[in-house]
Amino acid sequence: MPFYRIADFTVEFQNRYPRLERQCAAYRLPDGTGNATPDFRISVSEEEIDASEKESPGFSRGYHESICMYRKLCTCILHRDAMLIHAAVVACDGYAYAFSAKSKTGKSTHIALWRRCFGDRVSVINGDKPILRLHADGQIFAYGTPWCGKEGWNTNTSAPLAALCFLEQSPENRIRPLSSSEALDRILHQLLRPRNAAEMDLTLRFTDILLRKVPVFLLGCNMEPEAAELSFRTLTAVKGVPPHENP
Amino acid sequence: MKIRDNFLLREVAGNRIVVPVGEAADRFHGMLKLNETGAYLWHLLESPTDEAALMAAMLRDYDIDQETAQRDLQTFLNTLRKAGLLEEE
Repeated sequence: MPFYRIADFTVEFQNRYPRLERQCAAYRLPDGTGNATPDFRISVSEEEIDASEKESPGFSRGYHESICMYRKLCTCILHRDAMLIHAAVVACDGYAYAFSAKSKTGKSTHIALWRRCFGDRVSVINGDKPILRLHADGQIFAYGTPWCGKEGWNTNTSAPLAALCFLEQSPENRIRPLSSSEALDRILHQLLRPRNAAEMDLTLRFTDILLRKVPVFLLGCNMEPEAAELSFRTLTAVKGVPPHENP
Repeated sequence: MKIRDNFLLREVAGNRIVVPVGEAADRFHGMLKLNETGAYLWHLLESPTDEAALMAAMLRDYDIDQETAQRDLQTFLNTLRKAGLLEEE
C-alpha cells in the first residue's frame, strides 16, 4: 500500500475503497521513498464502516471508510504529542490562525473574508479538521490534512499556531481574550473525546499544553469586512505572546 | 457512598475538571469543574466513604467551622447527585 505524509507522520492506510487514495493524493509519498516502516499503519473493518454508516446515513462506503481511517489516525497521534481540532486554520505571513465554532456559525464565511481582505497573504491550511502537533522546540504547529470539510480547503503545509479564536454570530463586531476556564469550556466541544481513559488523558494533556501556549480569543462577528479587519488586527498582534497562565 | 467508575479528574490549564470515559460517556456528556475543596472531596470519594468521614476530614484539613463545612459538603454532594455521579447505598 502507498505511504502518505500527514502532519509529519508517515502513514499507511490499508483501505478497501478507492475514495481514500483520491482524497489523500496530495499527501502521498512517491513510491519507494517512504520509511521502511510507517509511523502508523491504519485499517478499519467492514463492521466499523457499518457503524459509521448507521450514525450518518446517506454517504458512500468509501466516504465512511475514509472518516473511520481519520478517526483512528487521530487517536494514534495522541501518543505522539498531536491532536485533531475542529477548526478552520489559515496561514498568514508564516503563522497559523485557527477559528473554531459550532458547525454553521460561519467559520468558512469568516476565513473567506480574510482571503478577500488580505488576498495572497492568506491561504487556508485546513477548512475543518486540522491536526495540531507539539514540536520539540515547544511550539505548536497546525497542519493541513486531506480531511477538511465540504469546501475542500486544505494545503499540505504547516505553520506555528499564533492564536486560536472562537467565533459566535453578533450584529456588532467585538473581540476579547478568553480566560483559560472560558477557553476550556469551548474547546472541549471541538475535540474528539475518546472513550478510552488513556486516550482521554492524552487529549486533556495536549489541551493543557495548547491553552498554556496559545492565546485564545472570542470574536463576535457579522459578515462584513470589518469583522475580518478586527480579528486580523487583534490576532496578528499577539503571535508569540504566551497567554497568562491563570487569567 | 462513592464516585461512580469511569470519571477522570484532571487539571487542565489551571482548571480542575471531571470528564467521563467508557460507559460513563454514554450517560454523561460534558464536564464538571471543581474548586479546590471539590477536588479534595472527589479524591476522598474515589473510595467508599460516608458523610461523617468526609466531615471529619474537612474539619481536620481545612480551617473552617462545622457549619461552613456542613454547608460546603452538602452543596458538593448535591452537585454530584444531580449529575448522577454518586453511587449511594
